Amino acid sequence: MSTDTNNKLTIRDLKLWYDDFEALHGVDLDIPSGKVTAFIGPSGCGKSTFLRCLNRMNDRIPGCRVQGDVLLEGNDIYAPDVDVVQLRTHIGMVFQKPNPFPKSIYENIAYAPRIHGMMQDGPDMDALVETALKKASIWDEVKDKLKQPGTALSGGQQQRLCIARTIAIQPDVILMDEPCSALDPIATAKIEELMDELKQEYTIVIVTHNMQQAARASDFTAYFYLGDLIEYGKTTDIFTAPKNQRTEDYITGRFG
Amino acid sequence: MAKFPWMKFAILAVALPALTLPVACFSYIVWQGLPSLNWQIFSGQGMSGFGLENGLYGQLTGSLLLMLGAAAIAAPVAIGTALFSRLYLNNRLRTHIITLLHLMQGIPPIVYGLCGLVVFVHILHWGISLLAGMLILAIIIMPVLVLNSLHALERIPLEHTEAASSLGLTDAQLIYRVWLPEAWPAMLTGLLLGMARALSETAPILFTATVFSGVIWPESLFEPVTSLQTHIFYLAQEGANAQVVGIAWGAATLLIGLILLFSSSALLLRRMDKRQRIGP
Repeated sequence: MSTDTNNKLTIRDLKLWYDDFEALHGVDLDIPSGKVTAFIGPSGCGKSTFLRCLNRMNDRIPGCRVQGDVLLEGNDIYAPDVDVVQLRTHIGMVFQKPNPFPKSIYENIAYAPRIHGMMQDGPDMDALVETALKKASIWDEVKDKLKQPGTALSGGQQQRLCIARTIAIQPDVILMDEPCSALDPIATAKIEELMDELKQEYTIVIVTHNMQQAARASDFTAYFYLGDLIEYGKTTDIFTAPKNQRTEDYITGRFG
Repeated sequence: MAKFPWMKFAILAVALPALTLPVACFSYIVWQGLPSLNWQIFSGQGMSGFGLENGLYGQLTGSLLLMLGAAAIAAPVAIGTALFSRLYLNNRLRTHIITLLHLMQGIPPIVYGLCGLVVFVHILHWGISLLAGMLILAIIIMPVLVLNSLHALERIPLEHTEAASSLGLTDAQLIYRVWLPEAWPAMLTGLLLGMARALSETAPILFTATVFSGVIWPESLFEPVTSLQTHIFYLAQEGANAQVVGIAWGAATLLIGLILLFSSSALLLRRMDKRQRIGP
């Protein structure tokens, strides 16, 4: 289970309950720095739940309880002295449904940096917005309409706007929860291309329903089933020579 | 539906009284009240005949003071309760609270009046006072304000809350930057409806906050006021005197006008809010 690159996130024996229901049964996983790691598995297998543990998005869900260690560069993110607000500026997140705020394109990006006091409005902010939009490969499409509402963009553009919004707070890790499930193939291809560029700077973790997407876009793949991590390894290995019969059944389409 | 053409007429026949009665009532009240509504009745502060003659100025200010006080007390508490339960309570507890609030709405206003009389007027020795009336009315409109605020908060898409959280907004920032900007029109709509309700309640203030006459502007919160609602009640008991009943009709018209003003601005606001939501 260990990898030859250095790890950004180390997860040990992570268990999660929704009230009395145990949704994750002790997951151990190392997520390498500067790579794309994909979580695959059938619906309800716990992959999204697990992803949301990595920036404590489950905290606000009533009845949800987490046990185990999630280490970001060696520091436990569930330690009592951890500031969740700070944590989320290190680990950003992009959601299944594109969710820009009902504000202008510019405001969507400038919003969080301004609130966090990273930057005041002015030329610096303009530069930050431009950089974030360029990194998310959407600058050319929106540079002439920064004042227009973000919600008026197409679904694929909205999702890239959300990625830009996340980039603007300069995280180390970007979590993506099925970011392409609401998008058409062309918009999906753009996001996959984008992930490939972004991994130069960020560690990317993506949950996907789409096995081809995991095979195309990720370096490492983890297969979840019923709250257990069944198999984890290099994407090329998982898809060509899975060690576990259940993984093989899933990726060959015999199940799931 | 097309197979049963008589169905349409049957439903119309049942619905007709429901449609026409309010219009008829309203028209009749205005018809009766308009002749007594002149400038003097608004401005007149005459106390001659112990308020049986001209002048509803004191009653008007009393009703408005009671309503504004109730709203000022109830609104922050209601919005705070809604925010708290949305942020920190689990679904089960929130469901219990909502049930409790619905139950509170079913309690007859006179019971609140009785409790107010015992607690505020007697035990706390406030006497029959403006403050007692404001508090009782605040308690009466509280459930609908909390329920309305909760509903307004629940209508905010989960995606917006999650986006804000994932960008590292604190709970306070989430409330001020995302929740309130999105929910305030709906919250204000509820407040206006609550204010209309506070204007219409009579029983709870009858023996806790109001007197028949003698007050134009109360000098402190611990003094009684006069109000349009209770004035109608008192005047109606003098049914034999045509001039007195005329003033009662005038007070009724004035009261209904005020209530309509608040209700219709609430409806207008709701429609504007809806249009904004649908638009880009």
